[in-house]
Amino acid sequence: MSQRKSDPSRILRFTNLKLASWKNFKAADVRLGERTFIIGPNASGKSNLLEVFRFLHDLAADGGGLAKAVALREGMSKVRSLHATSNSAVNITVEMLSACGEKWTYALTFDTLSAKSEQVLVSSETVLKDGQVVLQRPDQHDRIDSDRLRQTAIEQVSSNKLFRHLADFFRSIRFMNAVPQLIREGQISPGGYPGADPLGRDLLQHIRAAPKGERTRRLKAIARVLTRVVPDFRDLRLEQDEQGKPHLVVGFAHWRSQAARQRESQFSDGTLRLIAMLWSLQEAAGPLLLEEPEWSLHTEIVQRLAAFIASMQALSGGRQVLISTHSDRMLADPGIAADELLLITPAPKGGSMITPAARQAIIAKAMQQGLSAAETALPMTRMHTMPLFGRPA
Amino acid sequence: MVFAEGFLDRLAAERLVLAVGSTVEGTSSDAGGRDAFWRTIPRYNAAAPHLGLILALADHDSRECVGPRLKATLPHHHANLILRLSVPMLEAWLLADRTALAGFLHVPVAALPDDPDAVEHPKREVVNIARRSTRRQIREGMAPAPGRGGLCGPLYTPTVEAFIASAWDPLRAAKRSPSLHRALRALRTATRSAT
Ligand SMILES: Nc1ncnc2c1ncn2[C@@H]1O[C@H](COP(=O)(O)OP(=O)(O)O)[C@@H](O)[C@H]1O
Ligand SMILES: [Mg+2]
Repeated sequence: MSQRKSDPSRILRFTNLKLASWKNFKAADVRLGERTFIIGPNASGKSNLLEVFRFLHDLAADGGGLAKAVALREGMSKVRSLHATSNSAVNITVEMLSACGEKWTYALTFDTLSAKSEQVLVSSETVLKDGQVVLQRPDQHDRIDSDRLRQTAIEQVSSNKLFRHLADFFRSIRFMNAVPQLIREGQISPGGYPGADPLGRDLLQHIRAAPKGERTRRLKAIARVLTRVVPDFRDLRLEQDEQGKPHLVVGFAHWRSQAARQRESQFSDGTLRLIAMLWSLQEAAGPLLLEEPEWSLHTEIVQRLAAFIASMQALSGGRQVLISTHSDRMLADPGIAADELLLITPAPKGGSMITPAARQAIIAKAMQQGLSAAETALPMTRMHTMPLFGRPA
Repeated sequence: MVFAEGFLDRLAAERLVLAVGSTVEGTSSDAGGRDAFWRTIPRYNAAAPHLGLILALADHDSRECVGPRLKATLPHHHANLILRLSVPMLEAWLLADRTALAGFLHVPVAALPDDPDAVEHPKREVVNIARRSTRRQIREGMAPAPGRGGLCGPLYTPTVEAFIASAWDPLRAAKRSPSLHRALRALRTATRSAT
């Protein structure tokens, strides 16, 4: 069901996100491009921002829905911002652009029935296509039967005919934070379909499930990357053992100094995480969320990571990627543009706010001179007083 | 030992060591930025008597005069520390290998400047030259898409890395760049007296 074929001209990407009262963001309004780096110190809210997209996924997922998506996050008290004025409703508004130029907007506001209740209800739900209203709730049916407000239209296959591809799109969002040990253990798609597991337990199965030509092409592209960062690396292949279990096998040139061939059980944590990431980036699929991809990787790799991501994206035909990071090494790459950076900084009245780097005149100017995001934007996120910021450009 | 301001500076510094017929012994690392480089360099200087030759490479950066900064950062400069600055930045040294860079970027040789040390912003120059490439991959990788708010395209670093590793000849480039010529001469002298 999640593998439903979608019309390619309808392939979407997020272009804008607005939030109200979401986790530690009282409000936000940011543009999103093909590649976005979310940067900020620990506990600033990078994960909370990625969490919005995971929430949209869970809303549309098979067996998901509003109640489930909120419950997975331990209820409204954890989802709603503690910094918002008392008990304000949570709002998520996303704008999307399709390959054929259609502009879609999805806006959802939800709240509990009362301060004490845990029952989550849709306060309003809107779908716009090129500015025209496709859905506007609550509608007359909701007024007759208010129980309907327990569900979003996105999660109801019967009522979302006109915008079902939005639900498909949300469902295609992937979060990735592969755990090397779990990749090694391997498992058949714990999420129900290949590539569903954020922890990467089904990675090997997933690679095997790809059509042969596609698989070979992608493994070759990964091999080209590994050649540059792993000494003696020669080739990367997928093989099956006697039990039919798939394995990644790497060949090395100088077999005298080490085993000529290694299976994934012998790869370093970083290498496995890198392979998982590079594989996913090449898939022509929905937005990919990468949580601190620098983790457990060598400096040599981290310094090249932003460019690896860009080149793999190009191979996938431009899969949208959102990356949370606080790696100065990755952000030292001059190939990262100001408009790819979202800075998470402390908000004046508690919580955090999201500032696009391109809107900071100082950062934009410095980056135009060739200074890197690590030298310009990253230090800004460490400052704790807003007056230190330049005026918006 | 090599210590450089940035990632590409480090790769270039390694090539310089090879170009004078020496080999990189010990670690090769970079500071990941200008401030970090100048913050760290005194520590390398202090350790220099025990570490052997250290080639330290950073951008001169014409926007400020480095003389006073050097004096303040390194009042006692140890002979083992060969601190060289590319004028005004590494990309000038790359531009100086005209034929190689033109071939690598697929642009006519005439698109490259005659006097790279005099180019105001060599990095921007490299990007602008790459815009003229006959290869779409190079144009789109090296130059930012319009309105991106940056100087370089997303594949600037790996493209320049590949150039430094596979095509750039520091000796040939030194004929056109006085600052590179001086750097190689200092490095050659130091490696000779060290052996
Ligand atoms: N509902 C909420 N209201 C306000 N703050 C919240 C809420 N939920 C989480 N937080 C805060 O968000 C912070 C964690 O953010 P997180 O996204 O995990 O940070 P990062 O990924 O940048 O390290 C914590 O300080 C936590 O207190
Ligand atoms: Mg986090």
